[in-house]
Amino acid sequence: MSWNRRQFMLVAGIATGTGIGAWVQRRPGRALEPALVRPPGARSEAEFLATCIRCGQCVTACPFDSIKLAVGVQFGVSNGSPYVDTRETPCYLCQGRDRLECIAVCPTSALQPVADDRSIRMGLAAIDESKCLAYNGTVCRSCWHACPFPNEAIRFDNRLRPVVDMSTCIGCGLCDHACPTDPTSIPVRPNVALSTGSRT
Amino acid sequence: MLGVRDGQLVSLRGDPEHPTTKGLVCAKALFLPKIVYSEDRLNYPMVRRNGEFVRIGWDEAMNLLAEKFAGAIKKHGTDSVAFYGSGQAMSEESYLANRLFKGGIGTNNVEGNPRLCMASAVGGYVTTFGKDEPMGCYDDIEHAKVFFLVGSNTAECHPVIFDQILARKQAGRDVLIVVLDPRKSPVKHVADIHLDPVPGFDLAVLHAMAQTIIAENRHDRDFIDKHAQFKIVRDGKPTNVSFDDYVKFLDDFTPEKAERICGVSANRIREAARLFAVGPTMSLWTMGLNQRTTGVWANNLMHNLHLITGQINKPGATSFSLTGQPNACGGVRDTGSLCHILPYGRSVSKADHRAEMETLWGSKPGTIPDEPGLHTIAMFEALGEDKIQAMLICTTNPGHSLPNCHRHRDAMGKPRPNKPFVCVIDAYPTRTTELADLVLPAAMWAEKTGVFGMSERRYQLHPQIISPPGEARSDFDVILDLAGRLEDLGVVQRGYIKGKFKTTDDIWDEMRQASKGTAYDFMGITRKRLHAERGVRWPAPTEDHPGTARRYVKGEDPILDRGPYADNSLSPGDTKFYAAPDHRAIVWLRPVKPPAEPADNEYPFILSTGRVLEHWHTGTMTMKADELRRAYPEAFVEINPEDARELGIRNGDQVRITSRRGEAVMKSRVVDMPRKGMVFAPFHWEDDRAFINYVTIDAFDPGSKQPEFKICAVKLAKA
Repeated sequence: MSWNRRQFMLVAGIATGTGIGAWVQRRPGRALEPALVRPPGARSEAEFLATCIRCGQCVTACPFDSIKLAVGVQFGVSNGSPYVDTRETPCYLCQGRDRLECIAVCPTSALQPVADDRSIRMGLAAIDESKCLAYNGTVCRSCWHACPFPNEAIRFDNRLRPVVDMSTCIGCGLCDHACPTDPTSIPVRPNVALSTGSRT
Repeated sequence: MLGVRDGQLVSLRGDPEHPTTKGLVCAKALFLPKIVYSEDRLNYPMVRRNGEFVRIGWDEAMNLLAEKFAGAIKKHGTDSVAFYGSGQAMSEESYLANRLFKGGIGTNNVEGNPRLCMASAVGGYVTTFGKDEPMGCYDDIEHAKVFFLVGSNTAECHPVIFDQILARKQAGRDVLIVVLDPRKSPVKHVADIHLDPVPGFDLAVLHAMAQTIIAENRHDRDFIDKHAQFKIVRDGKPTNVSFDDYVKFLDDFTPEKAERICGVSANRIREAARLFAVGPTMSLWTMGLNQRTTGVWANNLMHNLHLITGQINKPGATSFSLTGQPNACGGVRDTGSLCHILPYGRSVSKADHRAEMETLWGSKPGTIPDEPGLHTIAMFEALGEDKIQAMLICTTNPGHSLPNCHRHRDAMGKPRPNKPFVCVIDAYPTRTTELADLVLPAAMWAEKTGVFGMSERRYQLHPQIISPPGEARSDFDVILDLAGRLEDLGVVQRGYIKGKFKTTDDIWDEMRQASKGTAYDFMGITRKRLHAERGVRWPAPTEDHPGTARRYVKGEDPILDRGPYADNSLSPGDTKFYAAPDHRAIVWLRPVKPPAEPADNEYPFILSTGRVLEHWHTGTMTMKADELRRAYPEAFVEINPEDARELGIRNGDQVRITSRRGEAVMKSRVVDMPRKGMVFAPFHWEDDRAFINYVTIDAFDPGSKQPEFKICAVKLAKA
């Protein structure tokens, strides 16, 4: 069997990541902020890094190729762990399937089952009003249209400009992916709330 | 405003001083520079040989085109050729094509895509007021207190205008928005009252509003007595009836009765009616009313409400049909480039109108046939039956935009003996060029000079800024060239067009001349003036006339000051519907008729098609900008969550939409926007699998001949 790039990265991920994760877990009393947008259902960052064995099964299972492995020293303790680059390929919430595949295949419960799509907290979208077309003289509502919960997670203000509802946004990044500006005007930031284990 | 560097278009910004846009542009416009420089642009003429497109020179291409047309005319008569134009072409281009076909070749087979979007609005204005085009203007937005938005997703389809409505609503707390639409489009988010009828039965709502207004004595009896008359069609003939007959007619449409017909609560209908009567009320509507088999009637009922309340011809009070395309009004409606009309309010069925145009054009008397040519659907049917032998399609994409499209695509492209010759002029390869025998590369926006005319009768000049790519030429240039060759081949009289015009500037003076003395009179809108001003609203009969904000109003409308419609007995501010019979606008008693194909057990859902903010119609332009494409990478159908649950369809599932005519497969978007029992799909994507116009119906309004894109019966299944 010849190895393709993805498989190679999986092994690289396992090799480098597992040890680092275990090391992080041993450092007590430190809440860790996620540096990356994690797949849906991820535990708080410290727990996630400790439990994720970098097996890459979530990467393989993702039907939309949304999940990538962070490979390289620049990722520090996250080296080898899975993440979602929402600008490039957001999380489509396994549209058309019965379950979230990444969570279903995770062998260590680093990704934990979620009650429903609405309770996912991968990250949080935030509109950069200095760049967003809608706030700068051009009518545009691409993010609203892309949002899986339009009128809830992305709503309109009284001039029909998009506004992110922080308590509803699940961080899937469909808006980030759809945004017509370059760079994006609606980046998704990793969910800081995860670091405290809170799922708001 | 355009930024140009080294002859290349690099940026686009809104013009803050423009009276209509006030500097705001929509996302589509922002990316126009990218769209113009798309790698897909057609750069040279191509002819189909043995099924493959082969590059040829312009001379060869034009000779072929001219010979095919001349051959068809000589062998099968003048009605064996046809022109299918567009509300995207410049006014001069449509006018020239109309001039060539009707007054030169002698056929009324001149149509255009405004038949698909505006014909019912034309029918509404003409049957109620006697002449086409709105009486009001965008300034009315700044004075209105009630906006009545009907069958219009203004927020996405007229985003710049909608922003002005929102600004108005923000500025004054007493500004209210009433929405009549079976779909909760983004407009609904700012609506104070939303009326969501069962698709196809909104006429009952409009009648019930009228019933409420009169029953509660909120009508303007004085205005009605002075300016309105009542008519009903009996045994196929319009018959005069009285106000009392109208009141009796409305007895069938009390809000309670209407509720049973259309599913909108009687109380909400009453509330809407009361607001409407208080005003000042500006109604705005588009495809939701126009793309219907009862399109003209629906338009009449809108005007009825304004006429019985007197909510018309005052600042902020107007019955305003929004136009979809940039130049459907100025280019196609006004220049008379449809099969039944002639320039500037003239009709092909009136001998004096034909004679006026023949004289101005220098045609032999009797050249223009006295009967309408083939309207769009009939034209493509005739093409499919090989009765039309040569067709020129210009600046439009009927192979994508026509309803029941399988049938009409076969008409254009299905190989068969004696297949008609189809030439398409376009800037890109499209779902229509793939069916053509000859494809000519077009110069587009910013690469040619011409005038366009907006909803509010404003004519504005688009000057050429950059050179077209490759060998592309403007449609004007191609039609001019074709006319010359047809003269040489003896099917158009010598000197009819050749040598008379070189550029769009040259023909503008003749167009002004054609408008002289008509209700459209824009003799005063000279080329020089167009270069200096940000558009002028007709009528503007003299160069010192500032243009007309409101028609039919003494003191504003110059047509009431001099010429055939002048009336000096009026005081400033007085209304006179001078173009209507007896100078009274007509309140029509129209029945409520179900759509051509209502939902039934086999096809239980109503399909409505429409548009999104980021894309323009068949996407030939907007899909060229990656930024816009990524906003809507694939086709989708909106399904009400309740329906989706019953069908077991989840958000994102692939769904097969099937009608009696065809099917399309696309992604579902389960969202509480369409009414239960209704699905909504935009038509922008050219992907054959997701081609919604295979599903739509080509039943059309018997008056306006506009097809019913908004309503057909479908069934849904997970694909």
